[in-house]
Amino acid sequence: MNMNTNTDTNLQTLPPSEAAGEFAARFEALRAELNHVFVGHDELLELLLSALIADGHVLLEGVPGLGKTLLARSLAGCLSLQFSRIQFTPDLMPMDLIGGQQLFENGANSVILKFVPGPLHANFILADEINRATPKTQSALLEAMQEHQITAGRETFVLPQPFFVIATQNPIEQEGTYPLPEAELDRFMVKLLLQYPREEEYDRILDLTTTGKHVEVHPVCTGEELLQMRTVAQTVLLEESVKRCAVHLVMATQPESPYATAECRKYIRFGAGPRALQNLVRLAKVRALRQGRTIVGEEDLRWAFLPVVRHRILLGFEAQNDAMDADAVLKEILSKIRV
Amino acid sequence: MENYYSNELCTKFRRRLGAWQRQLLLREAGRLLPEAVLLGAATAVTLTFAIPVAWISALGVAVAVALLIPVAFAFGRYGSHAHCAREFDRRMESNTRVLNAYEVLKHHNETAFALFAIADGCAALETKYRQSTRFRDRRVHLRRTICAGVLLAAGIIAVLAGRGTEQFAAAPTEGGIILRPDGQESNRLKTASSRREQLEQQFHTPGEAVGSIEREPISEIPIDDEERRRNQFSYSTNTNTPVTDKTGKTGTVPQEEQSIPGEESSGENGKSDHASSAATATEPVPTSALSAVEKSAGSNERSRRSNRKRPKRRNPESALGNSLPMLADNAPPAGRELGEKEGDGEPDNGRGGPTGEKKARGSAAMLPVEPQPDTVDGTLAPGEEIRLAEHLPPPERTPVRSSSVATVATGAVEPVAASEIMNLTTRKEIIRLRKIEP
Repeated sequence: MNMNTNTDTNLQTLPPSEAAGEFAARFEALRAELNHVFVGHDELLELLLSALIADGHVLLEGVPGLGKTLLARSLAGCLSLQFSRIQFTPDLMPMDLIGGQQLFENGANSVILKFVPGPLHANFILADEINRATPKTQSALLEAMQEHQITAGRETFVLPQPFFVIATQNPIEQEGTYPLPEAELDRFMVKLLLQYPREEEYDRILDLTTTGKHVEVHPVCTGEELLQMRTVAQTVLLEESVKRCAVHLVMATQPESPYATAECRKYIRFGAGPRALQNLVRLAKVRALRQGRTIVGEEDLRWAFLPVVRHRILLGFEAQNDAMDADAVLKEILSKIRV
Repeated sequence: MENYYSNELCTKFRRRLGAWQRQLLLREAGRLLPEAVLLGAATAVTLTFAIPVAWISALGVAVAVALLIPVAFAFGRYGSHAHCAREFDRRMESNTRVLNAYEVLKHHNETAFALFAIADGCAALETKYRQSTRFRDRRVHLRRTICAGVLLAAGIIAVLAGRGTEQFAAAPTEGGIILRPDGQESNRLKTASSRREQLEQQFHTPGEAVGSIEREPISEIPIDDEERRRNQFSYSTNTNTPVTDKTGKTGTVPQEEQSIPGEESSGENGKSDHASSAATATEPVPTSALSAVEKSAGSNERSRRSNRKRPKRRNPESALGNSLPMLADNAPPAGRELGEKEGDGEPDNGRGGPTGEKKARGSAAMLPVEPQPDTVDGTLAPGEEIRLAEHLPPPERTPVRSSSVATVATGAVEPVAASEIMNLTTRKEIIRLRKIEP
């Protein structure tokens, strides 16, 4: 078992170089543990772990059979956190997620009305096939994802920290599904697209899954360590020029802004907003610290731009007509905005 | 951690950034140097030949242009440390580490993370620059080569032109004998040159001077035949005002000409005009004034030719002295009505008319499918028939038995509703049928 040996180390008390080193070590431990069961997709794993540390939620999208659920479950296994899996179905109700009042016997001949928490009251939520539930049920996640609390009746329950939602959805199957509303999409820090594995990765997938071996992941990071990593990542500096660049990048996706490129004006109907900017910078900070820097660089922003913004823009008809997807439009914007 | 809190780190970073800035300035100046040298050479040529200004040294201006322009451009581009840091990050792909460090330093941020960032930027300045070799921009090299070639060619041409001018000035005018100016002649040449400068100062441009020369008649200058044959044109072109009329009377003579020795003693004023014109037609004239006249004449000829090449507009109204407007150009504007019209356009689609196709109005540009026809073949479905009951006839009364009606009419029983009566009759009928049944 590859347990973390630096559990007692407090990242916040270390000097910058050691803190960055310790941060990178914990990050690599998580990634290595995930690689035991989930093969390849290094870039996606880095983004997933970065979003986890940056206090964001992840939307995993991919065709069936690529291992979305396996990845989410494996990540939950790597963390010593309370894990809750919710299989979203069309008949799922909001109360099935957040819980509700139930009658309990209270001694002799008396009952009491008591709140029974739903599966959303956990640290790590796997919302599998999230787009199969109705929008009414999906909207039960809104408050939990943004404010980390749940209001049921007259009571508000604060969710445990860290709170992390990873949702999966299938992009090609539209029968019996409900597309996520914009408000909920905006609450996901990143939208990660799971692609097909490379040729050499198929061999390892076969070895892992068809030979009768039973591979498991073990927890390598506790909730407290994760919170420490979050706190240290938030202290990473962001200087003026890079801040300007981040603002310009986000504003460049808004067709009415002065920084909008020609592609943006042509293809985008609604651009990204302040929440995109916040998530962009938070994700870039994690990457900077993981690479041993204490200040965010331009490349960190550019690395985080696509996964953070791709689900926050709404394309117009012209984009469909010209066969442009969100990534293509955003890449055009990226090529034009510089520090 | 204490190492980070030292001013030594900041000083080191500033020093390295300064060194990088100097290097950038030198490179930028060197990059612009060929163009600046060309510009300086062009300026020198302009000042020497086209706009000669006595108190400006052409060489000095050329050198100043060639040096100051690259320096000014280089400082304009890399004058600040921020620009240099940004340029370093761009060239070395160091993820804005140097620029970030500079900004942290500028904002006097002294947290541990900030000082670590400065140290990181300092290391990037050192290691990245060492890793990279010296920049060899092929475009800059090519530009330098081209400019050097142009400069070399210009120098060769200038040298050859200088030789040609010397030979032309010393060319034998008669019988291959080279005439060296004696003392008297050199005095006259000096006077002519001073006169030329005076003219240039007066008229500012060579064209004006030439114009004044052309306007004034060639004066009669009293010199002897031999001198006239050599130098008459220089005198005639440099004469400022007419001094004689046809009768040979001398008018106002410039003081320089009056002081020329030999002119006063000459008494052939009347003949000199004809003689000079004859000599002009036969002899080469080595003065710059003549060349200016020739240039002016050449330019006039060119302008005349270009005027001739211009196509003339065919306009029947021009016969009336351009007093009428250009009616031929008054074509009717394109109509924008969509109704059917007689004309060249297709009348079927509502875009007929004399001016062809019209602008479409309200086309469905957002339809993602191929255009559908406006009409649908076939017959309309009958649909559901709905009648609005605005004026309904009175409802038909239910027929009742005459006995019941009579009873009601006599007032023996209370009037019973028709439905109740129906119920009663039905009940009675049922009872009757049951009695019939066995």
